[in-house]
Amino acid sequence: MEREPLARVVLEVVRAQAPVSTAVVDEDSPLGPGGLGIDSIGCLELVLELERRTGIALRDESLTAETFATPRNLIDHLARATRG
Amino acid sequence: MADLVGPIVSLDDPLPTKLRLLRERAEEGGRDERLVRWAAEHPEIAVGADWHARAWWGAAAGEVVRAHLYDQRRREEALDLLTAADVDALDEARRRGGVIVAAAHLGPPKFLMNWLLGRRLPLLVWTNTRDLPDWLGGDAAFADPLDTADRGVLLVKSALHLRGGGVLLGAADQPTGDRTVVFERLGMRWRFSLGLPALARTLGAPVVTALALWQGDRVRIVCGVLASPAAGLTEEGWHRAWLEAYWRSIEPVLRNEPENLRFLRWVVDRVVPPRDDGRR
Repeated sequence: MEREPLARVVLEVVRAQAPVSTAVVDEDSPLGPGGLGIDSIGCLELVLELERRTGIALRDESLTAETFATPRNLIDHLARATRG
Repeated sequence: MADLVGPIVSLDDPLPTKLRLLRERAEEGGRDERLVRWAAEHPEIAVGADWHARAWWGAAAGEVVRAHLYDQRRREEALDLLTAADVDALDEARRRGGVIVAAAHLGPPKFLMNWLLGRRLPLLVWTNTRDLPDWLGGDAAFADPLDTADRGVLLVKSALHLRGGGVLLGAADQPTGDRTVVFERLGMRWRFSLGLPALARTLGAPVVTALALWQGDRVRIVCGVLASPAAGLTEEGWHRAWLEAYWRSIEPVLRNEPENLRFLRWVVDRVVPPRDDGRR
């Protein structure tokens, strides 16, 4: 999957999952409690939904807290996973 | 606890001797405030000196066993305390793939984890990693649910581990988490994290409850299937139903086995606040 459609899906899913509604959700919006309010269970649901929507299976070796800091990090992670 | 146990047992005593010495001195043991409060709330439980002695012994003996389990030379001596392991439910669930093993802060600490490590399962353990010896584990992986910055990663990695057919061991009575729920049971308020139930719900993973409990001076392991709540419940209703089922697996121990209470660390408070009538 190319980065652009991937980013579109990620932002769509993030908007749907975020308990805090804001006018703008972009690639640099913080996902966590200080930003869109996605907590650990929200993270889990977000990942499972992204896997379902994109067909990309995450692998755990390279997952860190940083992966879930912003949509950009998630998109980059998923993009890398498609390559490899 | 070390202050209480230290003068009673000698480091070089065999473990069964240590446990016996603690038993002989248990009636002189301290009374933990939480257990005194617990006993006061439950007149149906015959709480007397013997009940407090059993509770104190269980906690003191548990700390001695923990020290053995974390000492590479003496670990086997602790595991030899096992008298019976009823793990059919776990073995059966494993045939269907990844399994959540929902443990509790009851009985001797770390015993269940160490016993499971010996079974060479593809194991991921949620535990306090700060006091974990670096030689322990083999192929198993450990993650700390108290590490607040990484809880999202913890849940996602746990999900991937389960999906890959692994076994996840965690205490479902863990009171800390991003989302928790408070139950009122047995006159007390109990806080539970929703991490494990959320994993079970989102993955549809089978769950087995497992407890390592004192039985006299020995330890037994008991497992049971935790029935999945009915489909169609709301998320909150599902989590509550899951925790209700979990509660049913631990309640008989809470009621009847003071040596396995381990000071009830996840009790929040009494349902009815203490009366403030100036007679404290």
